[in-house]
Amino acid sequence: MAAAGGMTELRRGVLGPCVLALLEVRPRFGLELVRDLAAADGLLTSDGTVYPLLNRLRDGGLVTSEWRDEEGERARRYYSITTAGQKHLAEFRASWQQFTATVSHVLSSDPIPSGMADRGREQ
Amino acid sequence: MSATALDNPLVREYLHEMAAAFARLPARQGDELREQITAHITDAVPPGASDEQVAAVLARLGPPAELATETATGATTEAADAVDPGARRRAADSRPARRTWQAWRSWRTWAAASAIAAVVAVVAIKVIAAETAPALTAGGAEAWWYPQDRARAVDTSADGTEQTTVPIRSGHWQGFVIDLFNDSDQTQTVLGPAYGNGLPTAFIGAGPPHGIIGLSTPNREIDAGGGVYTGVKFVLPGVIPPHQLRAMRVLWFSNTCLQGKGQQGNDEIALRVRVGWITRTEVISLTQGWYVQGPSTGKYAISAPYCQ
Repeated sequence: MAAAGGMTELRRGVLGPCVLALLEVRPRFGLELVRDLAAADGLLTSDGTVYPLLNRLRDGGLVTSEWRDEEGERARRYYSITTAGQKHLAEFRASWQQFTATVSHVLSSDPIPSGMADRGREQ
Repeated sequence: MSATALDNPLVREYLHEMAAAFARLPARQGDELREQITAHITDAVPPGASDEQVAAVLARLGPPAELATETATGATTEAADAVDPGARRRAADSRPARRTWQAWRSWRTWAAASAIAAVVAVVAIKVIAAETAPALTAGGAEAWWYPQDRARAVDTSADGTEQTTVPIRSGHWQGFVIDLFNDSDQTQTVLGPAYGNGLPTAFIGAGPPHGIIGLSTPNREIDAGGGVYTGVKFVLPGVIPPHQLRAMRVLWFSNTCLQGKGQQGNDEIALRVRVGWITRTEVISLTQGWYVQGPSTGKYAISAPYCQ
């Protein structure tokens, strides 16, 4: 149970950067974004949580949204990444590489390289 | 089968639960999330979807209460911090932003309330000032308007009351002119007589013309011995600036019936006066009574047997 709860929290923590990564490719509307996230198995615990997250990202200036009326389709709200969002995503990517390496070392009980441990504490 | 996804009973029940769950959210957040979830359901539920398909879409969305909690609390946790160190900072950054917005909104609310209070105070002060402004007063010079009346006027005094009386000139205009002084700090504008409460109704019978009241423009001092009013117009409304006076002329058409030595006249005159933003009736006490005396001759508007 504790492990499952931890994974849930981890998923929620990385969901924001994953949303930004998808939007970096191209703008998407809600269901499209949800389906792409759901396609990455195990990343999305429930579809609905994407929307509060999108709203927080938008409030933080990382995402913007606009209504588009595609021909033959009903109007949909499309989400796009902002310049600030791109910068944030780049920072996260750099941190993530380091973080996963640290966690992998700890979980595999390998000795932690001293420099890596220091960097981990800096975080 | 339902016409649209939103008509599906399961969806309607979900939306109903959602409305209840989102009620505790700030209106903007609740409305936005409702719009997003509704759009999601519309997109996710294909036309002619079975109840099982609909139920699966709703299950994947998650319980509305969970979405409300997610919105209210945010996703930031300690574990999330571990993989996304910026999340807490962003959340912290966004909370002050909301506080700033709330503070700004609060500031605007206070500013608006203060402005409204100031306007109300100004209005109240002006209304009170207008209501408490001293009424116009008659005084100074005064005279019958027409030379033939001035020549025949008889001034009397009894019990401390002054009266000036002239023979009625039936079928002719008669009248007087007095000084009207505005002793208040506000401009007062005479709009006309308050009929039924003074001149000119006391002087006249039925049928027009009744009476004419006008204030001088420009101001001109009255010479009680026979004023010269060349170039002076008497108009209504008549404006009297603060602490100034104007000559007020009161004329009436004498068609009332006075038998023998009968008299008719007035010791006061009621005017409609605008003071600031209010209009009120001011009853002006005249320094003397202005009377006409019979007998009447000629044609009269009033059909009294003794005047036929």
